[in-house]
Amino acid sequence: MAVRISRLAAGLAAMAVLGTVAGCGGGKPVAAADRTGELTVWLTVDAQESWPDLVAAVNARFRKTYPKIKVNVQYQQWTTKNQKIDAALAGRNVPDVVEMGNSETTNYIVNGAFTTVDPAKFDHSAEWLPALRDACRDNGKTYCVPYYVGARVGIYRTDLLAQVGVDRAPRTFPELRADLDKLKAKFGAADKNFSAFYMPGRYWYAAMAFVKDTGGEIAVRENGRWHGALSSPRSVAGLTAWKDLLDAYYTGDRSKDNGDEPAVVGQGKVGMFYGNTWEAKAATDSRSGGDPALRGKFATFAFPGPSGKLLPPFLGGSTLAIPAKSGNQDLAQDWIRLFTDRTSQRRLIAADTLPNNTAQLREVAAGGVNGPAAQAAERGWVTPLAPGWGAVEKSNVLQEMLQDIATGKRSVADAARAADRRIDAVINEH
Amino acid sequence: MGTVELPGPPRAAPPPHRPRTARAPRPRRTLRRRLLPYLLIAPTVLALAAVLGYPLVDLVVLSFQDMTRRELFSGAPPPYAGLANYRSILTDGFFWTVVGRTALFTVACVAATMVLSLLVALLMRRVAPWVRTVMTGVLVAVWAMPVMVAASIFRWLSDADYGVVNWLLGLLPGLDFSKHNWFEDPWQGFAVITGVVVWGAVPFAALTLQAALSQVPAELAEAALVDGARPGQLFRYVTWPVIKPSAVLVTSLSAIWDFGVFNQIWLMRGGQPEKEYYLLGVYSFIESFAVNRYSVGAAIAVVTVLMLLVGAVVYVRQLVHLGAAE
Repeated sequence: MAVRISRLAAGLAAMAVLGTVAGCGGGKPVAAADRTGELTVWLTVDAQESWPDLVAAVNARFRKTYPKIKVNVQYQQWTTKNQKIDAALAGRNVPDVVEMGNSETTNYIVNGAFTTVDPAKFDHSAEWLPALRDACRDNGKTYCVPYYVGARVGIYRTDLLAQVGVDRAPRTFPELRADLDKLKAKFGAADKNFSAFYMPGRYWYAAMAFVKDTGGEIAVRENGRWHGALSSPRSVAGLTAWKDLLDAYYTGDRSKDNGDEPAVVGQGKVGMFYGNTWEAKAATDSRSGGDPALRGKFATFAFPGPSGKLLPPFLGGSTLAIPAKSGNQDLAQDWIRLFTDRTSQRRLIAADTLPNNTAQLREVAAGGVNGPAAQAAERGWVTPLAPGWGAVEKSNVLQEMLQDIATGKRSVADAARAADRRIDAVINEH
Repeated sequence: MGTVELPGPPRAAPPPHRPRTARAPRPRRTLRRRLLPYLLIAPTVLALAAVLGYPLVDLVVLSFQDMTRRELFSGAPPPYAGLANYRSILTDGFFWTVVGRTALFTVACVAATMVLSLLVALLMRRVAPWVRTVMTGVLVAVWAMPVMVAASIFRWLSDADYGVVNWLLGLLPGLDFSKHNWFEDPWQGFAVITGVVVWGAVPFAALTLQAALSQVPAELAEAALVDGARPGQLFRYVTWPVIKPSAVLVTSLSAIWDFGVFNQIWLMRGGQPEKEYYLLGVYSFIESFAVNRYSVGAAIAVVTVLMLLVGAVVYVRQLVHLGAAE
């Protein structure tokens, strides 16, 4: 209560001071302190769930410069966000700041949805992570600002591994397979629902990491045109390695994706899985279907790939963009500047995500839950920055290919060729 | 008002034709009487025009344009594409596969719905009144269940790892259905989806047919039985002619609904239907909002509407038929 009263008092005092200041002005261009209006910011629910205090702190800092601007933060679900953005952008009443996944930006940029920003105004912009920076650039101009990134890691049950006599995370691919073999022999024999390694068939972020590991690509650009490259020998080798792992250690439904991974892991019948660091926490949280009894029984590790190096993780990240139709572009830029500066990034690191720049990547504690992610992030990759990439994702080309491979409906080469044809059909379209 | 003054002296240029001047005093009344039905139906027509007509016109216009996201975001008018969108879908083999699949799905769903609901309706005529009340209650409860909930439940029931269906089938001797994936093979997958659709459609059809069955005069059935009719003959020559109009109505309505099925497929495939699961509605949605080919999606939707009109014609003809009989 005391806090609220003092805040109210401060607000009133500020308003009184401003009132006198405003009285003296007149004739000059409107000062920052006198600007009125509303700034609408669309963030995804991650901010609401994991760093609401950062949003509040940035709004407070923003208010110091623009006391009369009301910042209206609205939280969106990833699944419906873009439909809402499309609808808003087609109209006149657009949000001033929108959060965009780094695999979503290109299509909006080439279609003129966002305004340019000046990277020089932002902290650490020279060291922005390529995975985010490249997703924001087109023809040498920058259209969005990197926000944060996440990388997948290996996660294992420490207690189960201890029961088969293993007391540390695997460091090489053969070591990983040896551990999985032991888990399978001990627990899989008694329970046919036990998966030594959880890898549902439609989990494309994981499968594509194997493609990247063997030097393959999802799609490549030649002479200005993109085309699918999944049927190239190297990509096929990666897909085959992925399939081998799945055949050997996964017992679940092969036509599923990883949407309910924490809940399945929470059932206790999974030895290891490949996922985001927060998923280990979610697997022990009954609200997401997990089991609280498993608390403290998970550890993360940098996942070794069949190539001998770390498995290159997909760097799924977010950026912040300003719609070209926004009437508050300078305010929006100022808000983003505060929300992505080094102070804010430090808060994000504390919330177990990776920062938007390589300089602060070093601040991530190597021994912490996200240490392996920071370590693997250097080999990270992003989806092809092609105008039609969104269409490839949303028409489930990769998922269907992987499902066909995982279920054995088609050979790896066959399924990859079919997927390439479907990619070619849409990837160059705006 | 001018018509009232007609009996007056002829002017320089008399009206060229007025053969019905003898009935001159009546026009005002007939005019009002003629207008009244239109006035009464006007609110409905206006509401339909606003919520259905305008989007439909917009859809047709869109299908002749080449709308991309650039136009969407900038607000610039999209260029006209003529028949290009229609040409591209009609010459695409996959489109015809989807059309055939949609038609087959519709026939299967409608047939199953009609047979099952007729059986349920006939059963309801036979059972004790309290059983009939219970059955009606159950049917209404099913009818009231949102598609969203029903589809989720069926999805869980048929889950490969934890589904009850696999467990139940596994109890039968000699069958091993553990980890059986119902959606790997589209035929089996569509069987499950047909199950949801039919399950949701039976209540309306059964209750309507049950109501129609109650119109069959008891003495007619008795007379037939006295004359030595067998149950099959009784149904064929006495019951069926009475309930036929209702049956045709329900059939055509079901066909229209099943042809446009979208939610059940979308929900049961977790919002990511495989190509083998595309029906026309899903295909149009994916083209429009996943691939962002708004105009091609619109063209598919227009073709779908045209095909649905065939079903609608049967329905309307039957309505007119019923009206004429009264």
